Amino acid sequence: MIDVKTLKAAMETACRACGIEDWEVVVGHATSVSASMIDDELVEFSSSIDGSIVIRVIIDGREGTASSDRVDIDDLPVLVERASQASRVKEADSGYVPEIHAPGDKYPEKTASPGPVFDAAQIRATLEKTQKALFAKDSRVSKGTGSDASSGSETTLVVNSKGLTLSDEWSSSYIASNAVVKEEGQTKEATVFLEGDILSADMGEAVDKATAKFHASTTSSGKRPVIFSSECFNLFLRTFWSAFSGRTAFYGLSPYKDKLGQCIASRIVTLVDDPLYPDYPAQKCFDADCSATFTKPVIEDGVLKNLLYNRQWAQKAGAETTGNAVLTSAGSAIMPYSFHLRPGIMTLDELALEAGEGIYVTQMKGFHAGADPVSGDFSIESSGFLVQEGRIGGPLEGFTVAGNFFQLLKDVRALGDDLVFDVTLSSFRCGSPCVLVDGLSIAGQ
Amino acid sequence: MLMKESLIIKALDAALSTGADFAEVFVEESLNNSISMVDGKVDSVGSHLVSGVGIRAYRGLQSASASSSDLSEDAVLSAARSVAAVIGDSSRILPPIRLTERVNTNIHRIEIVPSCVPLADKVELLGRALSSAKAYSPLVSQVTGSLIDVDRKILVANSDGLLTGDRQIRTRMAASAVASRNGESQTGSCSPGRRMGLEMFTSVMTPEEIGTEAARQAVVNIEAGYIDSGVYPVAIENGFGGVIFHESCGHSLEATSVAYGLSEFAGKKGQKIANECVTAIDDGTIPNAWGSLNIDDEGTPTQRKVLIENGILKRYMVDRFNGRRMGEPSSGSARRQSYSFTPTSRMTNTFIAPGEDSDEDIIASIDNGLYCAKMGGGSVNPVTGEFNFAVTEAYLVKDGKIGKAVRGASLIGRGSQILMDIDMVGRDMQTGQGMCGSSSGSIPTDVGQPLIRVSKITVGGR
Repeated sequence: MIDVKTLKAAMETACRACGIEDWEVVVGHATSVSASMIDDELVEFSSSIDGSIVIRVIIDGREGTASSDRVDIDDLPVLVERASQASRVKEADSGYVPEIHAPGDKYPEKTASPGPVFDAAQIRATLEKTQKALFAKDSRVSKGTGSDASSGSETTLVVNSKGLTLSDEWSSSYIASNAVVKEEGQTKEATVFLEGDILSADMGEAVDKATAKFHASTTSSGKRPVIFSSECFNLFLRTFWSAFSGRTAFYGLSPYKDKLGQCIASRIVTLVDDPLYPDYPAQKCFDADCSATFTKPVIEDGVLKNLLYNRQWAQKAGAETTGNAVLTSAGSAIMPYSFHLRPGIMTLDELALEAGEGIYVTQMKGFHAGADPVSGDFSIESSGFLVQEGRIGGPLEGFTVAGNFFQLLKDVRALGDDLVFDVTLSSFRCGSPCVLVDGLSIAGQ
Repeated sequence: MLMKESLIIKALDAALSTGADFAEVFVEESLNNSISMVDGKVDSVGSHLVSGVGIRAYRGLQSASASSSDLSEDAVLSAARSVAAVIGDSSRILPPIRLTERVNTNIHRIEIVPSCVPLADKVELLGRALSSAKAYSPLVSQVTGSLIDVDRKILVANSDGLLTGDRQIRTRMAASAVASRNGESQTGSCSPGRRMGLEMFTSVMTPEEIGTEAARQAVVNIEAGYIDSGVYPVAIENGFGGVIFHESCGHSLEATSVAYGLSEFAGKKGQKIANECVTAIDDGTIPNAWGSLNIDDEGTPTQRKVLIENGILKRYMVDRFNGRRMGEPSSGSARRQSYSFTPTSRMTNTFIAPGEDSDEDIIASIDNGLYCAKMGGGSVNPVTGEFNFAVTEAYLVKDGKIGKAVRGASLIGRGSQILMDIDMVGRDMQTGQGMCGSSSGSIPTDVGQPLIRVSKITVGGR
């Protein structure tokens, strides 16, 4: 990693040559090791060392950025010139005065240490152990069953012309197992993810989930209550979170513009964005604008409490930043951190009893195309289980669940007592309990 | 040259030093430029240099790879040695590698290299698209758009002595429009791309046409009703309609899943897997097409491959490594998003070939069904063949006539079944552009087909 003094001196030289006084540079360094095993063969192994550098300059009140994977002091003049060109095509924005952030903010302390990092030998050993356990669990586990594991760490250094220097580091590891099972000419599969201490992972749940799909039938079409598993509801949050972005609302691309303080969801819905969630390996104390982060409700007891902002969109909307700036190659954007629906008090069996007749959906695919974050409409390929007379019954497949997310939030009838986060190597993760929703459209036979 | 030949040879030697029987060095330098506009103003401008090396070695059916964004000799050799450490633990002396450079025929003429054009001119092009979209109808409440250009230079060298490279330039404009009425919003989009420079905005589609098409679709959707879900016959229009083949079958013909028996089409070469009217092709050699390449990311020239001929499975799409397991040579199908991804077999420009039915006959044959004029993306599980894709513009068909617009539909099914249920194929084949995601990252691919009829498919809706 490049040292602060050298970086600062090189940036000062490159910017001075272009007459630029306000600048910021962010340097990232990431390493990772990953491997894939199918059956008993280690088929792929890879390691990576990735660098990144993002330059931000402000010229005549207009901001420009440029970035590169190559962290090389000699490239700085070219990057500064490209950032200058980018700033020139932007019109001065009367609602936003970009600035380089000065020292003085009080940043929160992290409460979680970076997650464990594992080396190649440890990853190989855990994959071998996992694969053996998967095949030993059930005789129907078939050729093609595989597991992937990855472990990596990332550091970030921010230096700017106002004398601010910040640094951050985090690490993450995950294992994913895909069990393929066969019986009487049927092939089923299921994938399970686990984040954190992958060495002691028990991935047998993948086999249980796959074998539970045998002899699945489809269902009739119609409207009925749906219980979404945590994993499925996380996909809704990941797809529709942008409706809570201050930028999206400003442009009229979200129904929540000017709706602060209004009831937009069922009274049992509380949605929180928490950069400092206790077990969150990517806890963040400062955002890409160098603003301090903090925990905030987005929806509280059904009422819209906050939209998410970086400095730019907060200023344009006349609001305060919520510390949700994330750095992209095109500058600061808005992103949540640990974005989750607060759990309720019901077990899954109690949710089924509450639903009476309905469907428990455990797998959904195709959100990237089958859901529209602007209109809220979705129609998604699904599989799961029948809920009959208040009990979870036999497996179902080959149907779609359709509705509108903004209406769905109002139709939440009950929440499970679990809270499960999705597994991702990025700093944005979603968490949900099981969620019972009324009146969604099912398309089957 | 993106890397000194002497360093390439040292890296290959280091990767082979513990028993690998093949090694490869991939070097990339790509400049990715992007402009996005919202509400008539520049929203963001990005300029990102992708630069680094990927090193890979095989021993039999085992593969190890490493990547680094640091191209210094120390970093490159360290990456090569980390590959060797996974392959084996005994060092050996190998005969010296001699590289012979191969220069490939460039079939993609570029008239206006985007990186040579001032940013202000690109902003003007994108602004024209957005102005047209906004002017289309008072119902259009918001328009957004982006203009992306990529200038990708690659070098591939391997222990067989190959040294070659390619320069891949592509351009894409995307316009998205929102139509609003009574507090409700619907969207439309248009996003053509080509392996071309900025000349695509005169020779393929003008910015005005792109913006207008996005707005037209949004306005159709805001005026549409919801479809009743159920099982219907559907007619799927040409162009991006070809996503049905891409998702329902294309991914399942990639060696990535076939080599491990993880595809429902594995081991079925020579067997009937589709209706006789279906002939499907993957062709990476079409000049200036979005998914075309001179060479793939392992240095193999791309090919035109007939995958299915009159319903019979003829070929798979194969990369070098998975080809070992399958006992087949590479079909020039290895692709990777960048040096930091491990390459695997992927599609290029994949389409259902023209058939013999007229569009009129196809529509007239449907008593009660759906005409899908524009498709969104989709996804597939190659193991089970279950796929889904979204319909972004659709109309009911009653008694052989196209009727009122409907929205919110998705189509689901199983690949092996849908291929049999394609029972009419039209004559006018057109393509559409997409970014395909898989284990080796996001890559540009064309999908395509003429108008086709699927005799029955589950339509999800409200």
